[in-house]
Amino acid sequence: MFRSMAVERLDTLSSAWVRLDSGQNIREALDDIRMVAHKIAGTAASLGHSNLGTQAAEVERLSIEGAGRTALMKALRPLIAGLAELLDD
Amino acid sequence: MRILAIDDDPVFLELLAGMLKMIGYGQVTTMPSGEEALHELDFSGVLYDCILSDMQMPDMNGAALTTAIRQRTAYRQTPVLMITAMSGKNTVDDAFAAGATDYITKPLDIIELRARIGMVDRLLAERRRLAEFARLVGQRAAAAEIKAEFETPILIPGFERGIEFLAMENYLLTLGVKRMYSTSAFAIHIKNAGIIFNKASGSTYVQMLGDVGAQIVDALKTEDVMISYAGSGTFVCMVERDPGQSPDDLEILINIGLMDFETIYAADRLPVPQVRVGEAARSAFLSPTKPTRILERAIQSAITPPEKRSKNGQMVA
Repeated sequence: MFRSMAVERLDTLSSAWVRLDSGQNIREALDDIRMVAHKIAGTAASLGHSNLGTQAAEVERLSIEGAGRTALMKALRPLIAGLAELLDD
Repeated sequence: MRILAIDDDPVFLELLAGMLKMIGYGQVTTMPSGEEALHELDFSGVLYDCILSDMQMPDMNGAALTTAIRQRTAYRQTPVLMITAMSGKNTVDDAFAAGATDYITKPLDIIELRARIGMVDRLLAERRRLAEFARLVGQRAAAAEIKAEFETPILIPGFERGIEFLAMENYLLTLGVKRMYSTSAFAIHIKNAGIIFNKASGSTYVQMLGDVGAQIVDALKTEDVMISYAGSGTFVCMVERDPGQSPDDLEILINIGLMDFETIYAADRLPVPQVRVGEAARSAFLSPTKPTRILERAIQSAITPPEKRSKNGQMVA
C-alpha cells in the first residue's frame, strides 16, 4: 500500500513544489507539503525506507517551523527524488 | 484486547494493525478520522478496551478527539494512547490535559509499541480483576477491597479535572530538558486521610477525596494546572509557571472551603478532612534525575510537617 500511495504523494509534493517555485498559492502548497511529509515520516522507516523517513521528517520540521521557501525547496528535492526512485524500482 | 486505531493515513493504519497483530493483538478496528471513530464508539455496539489515535489529523485532532471520548461514560477510563511524530511531541500536552493516558512516537518501533500496549494490558487486567472480585463477592467485599488499597492512585469518580497519576508521570517523561526546568510540582496531603479511611466505607472515602479535589480546584483559581490523585490521601499538582500562591495561603483556602462540609461529615461521625500543602519541587540544573522524581519530592514535602522539612523548604529533585 505504501508503494501505491507513493504515486499520489509524489504527485502532491511535485505539484506543491511547482507552486512554491512559482510563488502561487503558497499557503495551500505548504499545507500539502506538511501533510504529506507527516505521513511519509510516520511510516517510511518502519517499512525499510529509513532515508525517505528522515528526509520527510526534515521537511515536516521545516514546514512546522515556518522555514523559508528556499530551505524548504532544498529539503524537498531529495524527498521527491527518493519517492520517484522508489517507484522506478 | 479490542483496539480502535484512528489515523488519516491508511498506510499507517495498515502498518499499525500489522505490528499489533505481530505482538499478539489481532482485534484491531481502524478509522480514518475522529468523527468516524466517535460514530463507531456510539453506534457499533462494540466496547473497545483501548484507543490509539494519531495526534495530528485534519478537522479533529487527537486532543479534541480525546475530550470527546472522555465525555462518553463508557469511555471515561479507557486507556487512550496518542501517536505522534517526534517533531510534534510538544503538542501532546493538550492531549494529556484532555485525558490521554500515554503516547507512542512515529515512526513506530515494535519494542516501544510492545512496552506501551503491554502496560495497557496490565492496567486492564487489574481493572478486570477488581470488577470480577466485586461481582463475585458483592458490594460490601468490593468496598473492603478499596480499603485494602489505601496507597493506590485512583481516578476519582466525578472529579472532572483529575487525570490519572500514570498519565501525569507519562506527561513528565515527554517534556524536554528546557521545559522540565520550568515545570514544578506541589502536593496536597490530607493529614487525617488514614483516620477517615479506617472509619468510612470505601465509597464515603472516595467521596471525601472528591470533596477535597473540588476544594483544590476552587482554591487554585486557574485552569493551567494538572491535578492527579497519587494515593495515600495525597493529590499532586503540576504547573509550568510559578503557582502564584504560597503553600500557606493555598492551605488556608482549601481548609476553609472544607469546613463548609462539617455538618455532612459530622452526620457520618467523621472528621472534616484537613490538608497540608507542600513546597513546590523543581528539577535542579546540572543534576539530571528521573523526570518523575519531582513528583516524589513534592509528595514527600506535603507529607512532612513544615518543621521537619529541610531549612529552605524548597524540594529540589
